[in-house]
Amino acid sequence: MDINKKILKIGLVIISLSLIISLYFAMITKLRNPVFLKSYIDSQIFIDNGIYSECELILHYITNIDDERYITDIAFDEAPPEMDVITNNDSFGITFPNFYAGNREQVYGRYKINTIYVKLDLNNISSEVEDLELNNAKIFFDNGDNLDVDIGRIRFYKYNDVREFFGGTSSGSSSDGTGYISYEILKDITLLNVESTLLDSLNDTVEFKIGDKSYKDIENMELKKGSSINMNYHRNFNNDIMSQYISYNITPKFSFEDENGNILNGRIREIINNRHDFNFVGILKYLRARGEI
Amino acid sequence: MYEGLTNVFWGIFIATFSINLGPIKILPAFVGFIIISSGINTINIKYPNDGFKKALDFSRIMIVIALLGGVINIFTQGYYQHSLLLQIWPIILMTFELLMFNYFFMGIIKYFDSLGNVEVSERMIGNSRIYMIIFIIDIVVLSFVMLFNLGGLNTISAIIFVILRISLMVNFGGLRKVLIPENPDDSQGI
Repeated sequence: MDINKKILKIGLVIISLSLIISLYFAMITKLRNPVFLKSYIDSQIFIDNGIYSECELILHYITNIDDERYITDIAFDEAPPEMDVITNNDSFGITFPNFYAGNREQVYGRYKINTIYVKLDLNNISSEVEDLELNNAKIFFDNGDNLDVDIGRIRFYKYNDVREFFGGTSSGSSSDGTGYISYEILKDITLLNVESTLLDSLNDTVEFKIGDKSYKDIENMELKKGSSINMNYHRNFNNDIMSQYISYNITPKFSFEDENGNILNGRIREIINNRHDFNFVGILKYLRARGEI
Repeated sequence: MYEGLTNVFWGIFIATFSINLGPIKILPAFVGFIIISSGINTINIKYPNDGFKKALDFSRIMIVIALLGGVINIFTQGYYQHSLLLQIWPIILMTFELLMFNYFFMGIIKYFDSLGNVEVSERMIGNSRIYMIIFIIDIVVLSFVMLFNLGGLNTISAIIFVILRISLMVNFGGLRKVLIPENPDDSQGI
């Protein structure tokens, strides 16, 4: 009986300790504000073409598991007044073959990953689009709260029809962030350079190669009619947790010279990743790295 | 004693098999606790000792806690499911239950000691020890699991909890067979 009494006492102490430890952990991992994953996106606009232009964004954000708020509106600080923003908690009913949108709400431990779908109506944009970049947004919640967030870099470019030079596009990607793009060359051209400011900011995360050279090293590459240009990209799986939770859809810009000496611009589409493998420990590390907890 | 043990047996049965595995619904388990309490009361009146008295006190606390938990559940209807308070509640409930049954075991052990039935009291000491250890481990695991929201372990904890309850029913129900009929003229039909 005495042993039983001892066991009871020790048991009660252990129970209290475990309760205190769990409560302590629950309190220090509580987020003060939702944390938005960053996006690096190049979005296409058809100007003067009469084609409907819009940009579709899928934004993921992390909240505490007991946070029941939902987003009613988003305003981008740098957006020109003629850009309309529509938000929706469910996807707009369009299937995105290159995007993995997933469920609206996924639970991992004490956190929830929520998703909000945003459509930017770009039909009335008159300003010089290539200078336009959205970095900051104000998020409005249904209970009146609002939050200023850094959503990454969203840029825009004007569609330029260079189809007479490139045909036979093929591309493919896989869920681990690797992919390839390949074009058939229809006329002799000289590829002058390839640039992408988004790829430059992500050079730790995404590697993009044309042939076997990095895109930055391309200079005056001659391409003959009938040949094809093969490009591939992959995501670096380094230990940096921050790089794993970035969404991107990048279209590097290239300039080339045709046989008459004209210099033209085109875009390589699309280097893309919107798929994330979330888990509780990964989210904890990510939030830690961002300084949120 | 026989009657008291029967009440305790059925009280545990009702309290156990109205619980949902998953988010632990406490109502109407409190009805089971009322029956358990009345069983302990019957026993305590006839054979008062330290263990039974403490078990009785805890059983009354359990009724209140279980009732409060059930009421809170109705009013929040799952909205505050993940709030810290509602996740701690089952752990507090289980800890008090651990204490209640532990003291009840002690009362039983003392009773059989006083009857001179060493075999049964030794057996009860052993059984109560195993019960306590497993229950303590279960509560500790559950406190981590509920707060970290690990789904699978949650279910295992709940299953172990039900097994513990069943073991109690087997123990206390089985004790009735050991008892000498109080009135030799009644046909007991044990």
